Amino acid sequence: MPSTRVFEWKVWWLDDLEIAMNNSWLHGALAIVAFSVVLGGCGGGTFFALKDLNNPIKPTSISVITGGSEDADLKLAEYLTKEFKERTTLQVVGQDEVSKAIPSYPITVKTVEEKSGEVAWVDPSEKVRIEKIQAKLKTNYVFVIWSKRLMKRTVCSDRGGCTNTYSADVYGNLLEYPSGKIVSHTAFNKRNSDSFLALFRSKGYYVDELLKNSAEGIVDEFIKVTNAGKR
Amino acid sequence: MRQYNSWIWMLIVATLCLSGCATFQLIHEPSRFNGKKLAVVPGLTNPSSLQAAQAFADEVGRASRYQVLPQKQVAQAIPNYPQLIKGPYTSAYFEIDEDYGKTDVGRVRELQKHLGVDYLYILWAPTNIQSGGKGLFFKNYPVVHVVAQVFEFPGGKEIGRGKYMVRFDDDRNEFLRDDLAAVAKEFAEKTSMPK
Repeated sequence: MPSTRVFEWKVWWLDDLEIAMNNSWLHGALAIVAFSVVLGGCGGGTFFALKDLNNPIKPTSISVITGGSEDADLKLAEYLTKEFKERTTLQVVGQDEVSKAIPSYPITVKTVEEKSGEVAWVDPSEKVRIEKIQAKLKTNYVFVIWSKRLMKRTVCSDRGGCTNTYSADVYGNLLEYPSGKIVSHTAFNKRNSDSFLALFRSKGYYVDELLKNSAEGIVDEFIKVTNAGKR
Repeated sequence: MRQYNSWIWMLIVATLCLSGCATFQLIHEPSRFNGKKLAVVPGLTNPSSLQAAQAFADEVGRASRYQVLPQKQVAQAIPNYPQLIKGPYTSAYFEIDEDYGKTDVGRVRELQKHLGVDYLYILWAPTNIQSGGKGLFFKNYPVVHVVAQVFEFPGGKEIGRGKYMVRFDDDRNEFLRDDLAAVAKEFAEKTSMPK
């Protein structure tokens, strides 16, 4: 079964905050801190980091493949491909070409998660399969990307009005060829909350934004690390 | 006057229920001179779509007079099965934002050439919702959103479409047959092919 999950819950914390502030200064301060953490939370982690700083990325060619088969995985691969194309000097293979070249694309690529999900690596058993994919795409680098645990949390106030916060864990590995070595890792959590403007926007708008921002963040860091940005 | 009002209310409720609960909507009447061969094809490569296609094909076979191509044969006939077919939606993260103009009809026609059927029922199950928990006397099943389109051949004209939800039994790792049986029954009735 797919991993996309929704947990909807209602919290009446806006009123709790008011009561706490009336009770004492300390409780009020704590409530404000909690409030700020909830509102200000926008995820965290590593957008793009080289595994070995002595092994720099050569600005040659790259293809992005998704390691999952949900709609969010496909969109993330699309947005990342677009970012690489528009902002780097690398030759980038489009998702249409990837889809044509790989039978049954998207395919599920297994991961090994370490340190409670802080890092994720392509499972060693997938090495041969990705090698075959690379042989078809013929790029020096293959970026495998996953969007996991896409969630929606709904927080409602007693006085009406609810806010939906969407979050996803994004993992990625860059593989270098012909060696087939993993040369980078990506692991971060991204969040995005809607507003009253949600009434006028498409159903997937805020998740789309979250995924676009994720792709943008990866390429920002990629350019910093590799110096492969367009001038 | 009061009786007249209650009739109006009953009519409104019935209309709302029928329109809201429909799992299949006929757009064009199927040709009377056409054959009865039908194949159910998943439009995505994810496990939900594959399982839903398998289960729905079984149910349509039971509920209708269509000659349903077994899924094994579908998988053998289509090269690189399962294939990704661009589906009728703009996004499908938590619910399906459908747009029936987005389907890759070219790919649908290509698939039919391999299958040689009169009707193709293509379904996409792009996401699922985990609605939580199990109690002592109840169980909330995860719900899978499905969107589907039916094409008639020769020609490849879309004759119907549907959007519905199906419950998934985590313990048995399968869709609830009752849900898919109801969808299959409605499809058979609306295309005038019930058993």
